[in-house]
Amino acid sequence: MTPVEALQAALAGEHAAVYAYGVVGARLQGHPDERAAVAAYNTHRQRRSTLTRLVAGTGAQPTAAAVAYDLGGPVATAPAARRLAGLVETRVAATYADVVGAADGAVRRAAAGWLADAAVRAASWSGRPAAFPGLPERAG
Amino acid sequence: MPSLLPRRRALVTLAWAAGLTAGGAGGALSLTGCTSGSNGPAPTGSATPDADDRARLAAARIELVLAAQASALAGRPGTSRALAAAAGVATAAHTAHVAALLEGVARHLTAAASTSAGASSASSASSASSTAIAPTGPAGSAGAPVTAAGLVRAEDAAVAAHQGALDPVSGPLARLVASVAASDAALAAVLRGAGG
Repeated sequence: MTPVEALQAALAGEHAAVYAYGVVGARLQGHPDERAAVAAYNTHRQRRSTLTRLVAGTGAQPTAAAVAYDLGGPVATAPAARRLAGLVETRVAATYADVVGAADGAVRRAAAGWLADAAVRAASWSGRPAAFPGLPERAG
Repeated sequence: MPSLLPRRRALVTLAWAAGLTAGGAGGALSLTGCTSGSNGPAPTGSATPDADDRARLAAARIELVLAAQASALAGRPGTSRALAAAAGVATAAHTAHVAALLEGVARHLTAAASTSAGASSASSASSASSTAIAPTGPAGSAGAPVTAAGLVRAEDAAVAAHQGALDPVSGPLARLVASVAASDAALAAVLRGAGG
C-alpha cells in the first residue's frame, strides 16, 4: 500500500465516520453519551478535512463521500448507536494504522496520534479496550 | 479473581526469551547477552540486532514493566473490584504486547542461538538457566507499591515513548508499535475511569 492509497482509505473511512456519527448523535440525543457523540462527530469532520488536504497535497484527487453508507442494520436504540460508534472507531483505527505503516515522518506521527484517539473512543463506546487497535489480524 | 501467577510466569518466560533481565529494586530492565547468560560480549555467531530489533526490545521492555505494574495493582489488597478488573485487562494486554513485539526478535535470536550453540553447547545450556529472571522489578520489588495513579502515569509515558520511537523503524513495525501505543492510551483511559 502506498502512502497515498493509505491516506485515501483513511479519508474514505472518515467520510463514513461522519455519516455514521450523524446517525449516532441523533439516536443519542438526550442521553448521557450525547456530548461524546457530538465531540466525536466534530473530531471526524476535522480529520476528514485534514486528510483531504493531505491527499490533495500529493496531487491526487481526494476520495469523495458516498451518498449513503450501509450501517449494518437499523440503529433504533441507544445501545445500537453505541455499538455503531464503537464499530466506526474500530474501522477508522485500522485505516490510521495502515497510514502509520505506509507513511513516514510527520504524517506517520500524526496518524499514530489519530490511531490512539480512535482507540480511546472505541474503548469508551465498547467498555473494553482492544489489545491491538487498528490491527484486525490480531483481533480476537 | 483469576490467579495472576500464570501471567507472571508468562512474563518471565517472554522476558527470558528476549534476554531481558529485570533489574534492581527500581525495576529498571537491562538487556543482557542473549545466549551466554553473562553480561560479557555477545558470543561469536550471534547476530547484531538491527534498528527494528532494538526498537522491538525497547518497546517490549516498556510493556513488560507495565504488565508487572498492572499485575501488582490487580492483586493488591484493597484495590476496588472495578480497578482490579481494569488492571487485569491491562495485564493481559501488556503481556500480549510483549509477545507480539518479541515475535520477530525471538526468531532472530533463536537462529543466533542455534549458531552459537554448536560452538559451545554445554556452557550455553548451563549458563542460560542462570539467565532466567526472578519475577521482580516494579511488581515484585521492595519499592513503593504500585498505585492506580502511578500506573496511569506510566501508561501515558509509554504512549509518548512508543509514539516518539516510530520514525526510524520499518513500516510494519511502526504499525505494530503505534497500535501498542494506542492500546496503552485506551488502557490509561479505562484505568482513569475505574478510579485511577
